Amino acid sequence: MVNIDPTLMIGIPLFMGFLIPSVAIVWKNSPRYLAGFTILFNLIASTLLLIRSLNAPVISVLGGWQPPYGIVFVAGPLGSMLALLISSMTMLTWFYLPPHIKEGNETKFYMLFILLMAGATGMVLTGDLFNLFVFTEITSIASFSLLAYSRGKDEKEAVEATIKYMIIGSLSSAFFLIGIALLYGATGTLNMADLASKIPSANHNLVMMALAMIITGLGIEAEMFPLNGWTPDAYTGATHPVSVMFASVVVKAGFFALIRVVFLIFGAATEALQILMIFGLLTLFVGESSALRQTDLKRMLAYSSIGQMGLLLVAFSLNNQTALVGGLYAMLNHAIAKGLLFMAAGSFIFALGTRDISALNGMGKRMPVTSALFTIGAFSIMGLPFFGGFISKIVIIAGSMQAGTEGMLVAILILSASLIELVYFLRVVHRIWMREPEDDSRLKEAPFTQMFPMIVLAAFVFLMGIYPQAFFKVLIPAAQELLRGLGTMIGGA
Amino acid sequence: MIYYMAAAFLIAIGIYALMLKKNMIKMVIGLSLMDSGVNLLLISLGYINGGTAPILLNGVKPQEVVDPLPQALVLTNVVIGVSVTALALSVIIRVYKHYKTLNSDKVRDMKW
Amino acid sequence: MDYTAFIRPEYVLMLLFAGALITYFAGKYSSMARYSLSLLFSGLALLMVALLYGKNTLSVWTPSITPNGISMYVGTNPLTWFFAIILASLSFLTIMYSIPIMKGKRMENWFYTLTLLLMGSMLGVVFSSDLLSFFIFWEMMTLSSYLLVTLAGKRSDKAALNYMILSTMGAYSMLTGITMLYVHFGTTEFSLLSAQIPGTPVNFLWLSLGLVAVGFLVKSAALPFYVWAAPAYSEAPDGFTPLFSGALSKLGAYGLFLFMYVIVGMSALIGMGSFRGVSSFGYAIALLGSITAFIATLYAIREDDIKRLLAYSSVSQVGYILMGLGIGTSLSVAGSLYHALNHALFKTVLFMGAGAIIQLTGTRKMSEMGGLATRMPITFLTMLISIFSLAAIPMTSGFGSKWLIYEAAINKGFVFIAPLAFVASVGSFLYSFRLLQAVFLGQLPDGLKDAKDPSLLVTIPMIALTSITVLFAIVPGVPLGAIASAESYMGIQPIQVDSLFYFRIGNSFGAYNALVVMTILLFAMLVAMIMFAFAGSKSKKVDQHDTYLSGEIYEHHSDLGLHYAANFYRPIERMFEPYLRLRLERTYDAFGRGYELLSEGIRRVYSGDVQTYVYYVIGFLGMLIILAGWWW
Repeated sequence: MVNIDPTLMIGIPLFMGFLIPSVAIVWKNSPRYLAGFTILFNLIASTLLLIRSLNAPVISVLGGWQPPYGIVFVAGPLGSMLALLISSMTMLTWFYLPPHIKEGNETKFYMLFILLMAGATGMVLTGDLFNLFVFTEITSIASFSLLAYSRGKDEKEAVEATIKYMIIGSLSSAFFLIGIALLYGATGTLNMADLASKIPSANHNLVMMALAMIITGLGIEAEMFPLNGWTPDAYTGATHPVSVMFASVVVKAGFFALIRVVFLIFGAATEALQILMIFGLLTLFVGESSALRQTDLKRMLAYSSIGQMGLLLVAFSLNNQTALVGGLYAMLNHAIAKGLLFMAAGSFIFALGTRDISALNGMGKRMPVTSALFTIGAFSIMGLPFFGGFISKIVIIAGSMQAGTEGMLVAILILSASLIELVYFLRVVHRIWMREPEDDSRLKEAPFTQMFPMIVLAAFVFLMGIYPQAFFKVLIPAAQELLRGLGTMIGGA
Repeated sequence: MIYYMAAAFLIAIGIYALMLKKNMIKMVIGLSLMDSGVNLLLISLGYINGGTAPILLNGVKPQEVVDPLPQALVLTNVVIGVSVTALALSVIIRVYKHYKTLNSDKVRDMKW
Repeated sequence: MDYTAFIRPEYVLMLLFAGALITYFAGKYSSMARYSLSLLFSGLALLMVALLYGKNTLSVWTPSITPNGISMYVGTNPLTWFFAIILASLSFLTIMYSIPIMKGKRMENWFYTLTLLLMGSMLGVVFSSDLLSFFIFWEMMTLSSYLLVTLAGKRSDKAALNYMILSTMGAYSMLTGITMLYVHFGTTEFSLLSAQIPGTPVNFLWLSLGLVAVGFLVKSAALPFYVWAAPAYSEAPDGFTPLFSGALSKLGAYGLFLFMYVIVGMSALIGMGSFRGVSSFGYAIALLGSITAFIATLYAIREDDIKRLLAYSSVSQVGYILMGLGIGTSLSVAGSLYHALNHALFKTVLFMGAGAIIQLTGTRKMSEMGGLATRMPITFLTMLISIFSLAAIPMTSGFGSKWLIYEAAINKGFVFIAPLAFVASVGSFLYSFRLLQAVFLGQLPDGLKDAKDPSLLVTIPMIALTSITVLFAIVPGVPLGAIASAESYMGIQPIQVDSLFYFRIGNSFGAYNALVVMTILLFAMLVAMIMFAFAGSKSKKVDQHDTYLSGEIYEHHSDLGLHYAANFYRPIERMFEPYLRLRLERTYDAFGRGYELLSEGIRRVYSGDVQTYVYYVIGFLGMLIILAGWWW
């Protein structure tokens, strides 16, 4: 078995990020292929990493400095699963890109695209708190720039969304950094495992203050209500593949960072979990309710994403193994299904030239394949049987039932929100298949390169619905890793 | 102690600018101020009054040495801060091109 | 080869799901293949279900599907067989009936695919022997029936959506209850569950059973949830309504039987509290059922739309089923199961007939029909007998089942349920009479002079079902034998069936000999017919508006309400008008609109101004810091 050092999964994309513009000077078409190769490398590396990490966590020390002094990369099953998710979603989005990015600017786009992947991968793999901050910033800056990428008639909305995202995002990073500073002041270390072992003996007030700061900072990335003002605008304003990246990669990495800090560093602090629970439920309801009345397809999907992130927060803050597995399953399912939905929606909008939901009437006849793929994604998010969302919903409900009476209330709230979600997705799906179109003409389906990632994602959505055991093999150790905490992983080094 | 107060003060000014100034450039200035405040906070965490640079020459005891780690962090953060500010300002130029205003109240085509 | 090895419920389900897929692809290219394949698959499934009679199987369907290694089971037993045979035969006959009815309608190919899928999932619901697969099939059933309703096009949009929303609400409530059971007992298989039930806290049982029951009550369109039923039944494509109302509505009752008597069991149910020897839970169900029967009857009486009338009638008849189910004595459960069978038989025929008539006349308004008896004799006769069965007139098997339910209610001395049931029964006679009179009797409108019976594919299912209705009236022992074994499976004392013609009702009420009753009644009918034949020649045919206009020449406008079927039961309507105005639909509508309004308000949170978002962030942080200082 070839072992690829996880560091290379950051290093190579960063290096390629510099290489792409220089090679582009001599070979104009190179950026796409160079980017593609880089992503492929990461895909292979993360697959190998996942296989290795299922046996024992992979720890990679940077620059020969032993932890807790140096920076380490820690890849447990959870981190490597997410790294795999990130690289595979990036790969699929790479296939989806071409018609959506314009000639000439390609170089910059691919450079940022790779940086985004590198940043997100770093966020899930790093074992050092400040390093987490740096990768968060790399991811954020790459996403700011990708968001502002649109030109032409979409530019106005894109820049508006960008400035909003930038202001809120920078605020978030400032708070995150303050939190890190406070933690460092209280414990004198930045290594996550070391932090976890030192926090119980540190100044309680300072630590709690730091926790509040970090929750606020990372909550913004994780789309937590009321910190998610930037989200709907960013999803709407971005070009379609970038929306996919936001939904499936950036937000997932941010969410994972939040969960990691709360679970691993603070040892699933009950206070923090209660806050996350309450705000998760709020996020769930605000997101789903806001989506209910949307007339803009992408905005509806964006609010639905917010709702799903709320569901994830709730699932994780239940803090038992079943709920965690359910939450992770929902996370995977959401990354895959929402990526599929954004891709399909992108193809619709590309063909129709409008984001208005009412323009979707009769799309089942006009673009049958894309419509079918969109429907599959929607069914999965709605949680219908034989799709991934169903399994995640059932497992989360079972997990919440284990939390007693309170958990029962949570279950009922989750299901009510799920009902709202069902209503608005059903309205769209109904429009697509059952309404008569005003204009009967057949629209051109997306080319095969774009269809391919959607088909792969749809296949995964199915697979998750009918053969969940395959995923549980990874998710159960991942959930156990979260529950066990970091201490045992690195031997308290 | 004075450093901590100064840091808190800078952060407070930044938040003030973000909350009460409508002009987006001023908001970005606020962000930048906050960043400086955070940097100051980080530096002061590791600062020892009268300490020397963390270079272990003979005669320098570890407890007299300024903590080098925050300084490294600050260096990184300064770079990040610069790039974010530059990016934000360039985006604001484009916002101005489209909206002919810098007032954040007016830049709200996308809502609800 | 030993074919009996293939007679297992899991193969039935596989056959149907594969069949749905094959039919879809084959049907895209040839309509003949579509018809023959769907008939073939449903017929084969019906045959397999029939051969399952008397078997008791249980097998693992898929290994461990969730992290805790839950397996999925399917199996069959007398109770499931009883429902399965009803569902399978109705599905088969409905598919046959749909061939001419759905010809050329929109998305015809999908219709057959979805019907096969629905058949598979309905059978899956009854065959599944664990909570998880039960729920999965239940959801599939809801989804496929929803899709079938939407096939009718834009007209059915709202009805379909409401059906789906309410069903999903019910399903989620059920899911909550199911997971409660699973988390508490650590198993999902029914027999393992029921073995652990004794000694469970009563509160827990009430809560979980109540939550599960909500799902079934929604499906059976019982009282607080009946609002979806009439629009969905009536707006569904004509080819689907018979199956929808005849078969699908029974599954709510099946679920209640399953959870109340098979899983929880009679003794634990009584342990949850009882009222005159009837479990309180069952009493609540029975009460809901009887009120539903009563209210839906009132609505049915008002209806001029033939499908809506039948739809409300379905709701009310399912109310009877719930009534018998809830009371839970040997008699009432037998009555309930028997009524489920009868209702499936007669309501399917009625909806089939209605579909045929609608296709012929192009209208659903009964006030635009009339006099069709002479033009459509087969439709008339089959529907007449079904209406008799619906109105529980002796000589049809509908009589036996309703009688059993009444006896049970009276036996227990339920002063509220029994009278409601009686009044509802009178009401059902009223609306079925209206149906008969307005559609088949009276004068033929000019437009329908050349009406004739529909094709054989429509009449054969109707005749088949009607002859079963008549047959079972003569030999009630046949269905009651199956019912008795289902009852003993549920741990309820089985009803005594002494011979094919004859069964005892308790020990105090004596016995009912169908053969004797039938002979007497037939004789009386014969006498009446002879008398009518001699007196009938004096009647004279007049134009249908002459009753009002006395021969004056008048432009015919059907909307003037001159047709005798318009305002048929005006006095009764007037009597109940103030109460009928309080429709539950409005409450639901108001709730829905209110929530939409609320969400319209909620999304104003996203003001679009970045500064507001900064406020949110700072506010959130401030709150956390305050919490960190005080609370933590």
